[in-house]
Amino acid sequence: MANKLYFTLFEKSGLKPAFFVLGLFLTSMVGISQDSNKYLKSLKQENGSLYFILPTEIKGKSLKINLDITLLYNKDSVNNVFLKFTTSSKQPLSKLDSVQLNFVEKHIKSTAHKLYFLEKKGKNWKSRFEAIISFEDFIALLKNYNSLQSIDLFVESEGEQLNLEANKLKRLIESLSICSPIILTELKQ
Amino acid sequence: MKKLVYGVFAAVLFSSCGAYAPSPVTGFLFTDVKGNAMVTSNSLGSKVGSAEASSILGIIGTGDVSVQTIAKNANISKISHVDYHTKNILGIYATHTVFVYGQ
Repeated sequence: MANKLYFTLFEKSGLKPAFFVLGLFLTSMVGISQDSNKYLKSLKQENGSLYFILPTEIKGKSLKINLDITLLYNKDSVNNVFLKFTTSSKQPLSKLDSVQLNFVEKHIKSTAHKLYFLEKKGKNWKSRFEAIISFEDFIALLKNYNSLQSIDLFVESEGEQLNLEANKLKRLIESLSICSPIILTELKQ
Repeated sequence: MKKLVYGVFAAVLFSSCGAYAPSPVTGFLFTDVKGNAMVTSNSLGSKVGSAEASSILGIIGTGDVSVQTIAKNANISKISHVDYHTKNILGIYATHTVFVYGQ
């Protein structure tokens, strides 16, 4: 059956055999490269699993953010979800007040925040932050990633309070579209 | 058939001098290998970090996949183990992703 299909495709393509095989191979590689390994790493642990959504880049006007998400899911305890992200900006961002995920109809706001480090990299400043959202909010994010509009960072720079918005979320939404069904199925949500 | 052989030969030739990421096994057309690079006596923690290095045609290679940088970015002070994931496509594009786990 498959042989017949390939033979028909080959005949209709009008390509030389070598190019046809190469074309077929490259097409299959595109399929393979879309697999979940590119976006999600999970590890079974005692009483649960560790889920890691690999870093993806999101952008704003004067801001570039590299965001990854970690959840250590334990059946018997309260689960928090860690948003860890690196910001690259022209001004030094020394304190994170909150992260707000803006959906069409609702907002999710982070609770606890931590600065890992702040360092100068060329002309820009690089900050690494951690923010925590609740397990329920994370499930809401996985279920509603399609309606995610923007991410607001409320930060402090040299004593001044800033609101930085990232609204180019294509890569994050692509990543969540792959990770979401896997995590939701495993967690039976 | 002769051209197919030439095609495969050219792919081998190009892949040997093209993009390459370290892997315990070699696939000149395609490599997709996961493995473990290091295990310590520390217990499995709740933190994980990753970084990726990539190569295009073996001409341009970029990325910082050092364990120290990944541990710093993930705020890991005790490393439990280090994994990697290597991909090579026709020697055209290769990636090497390192995962550091710990607490």
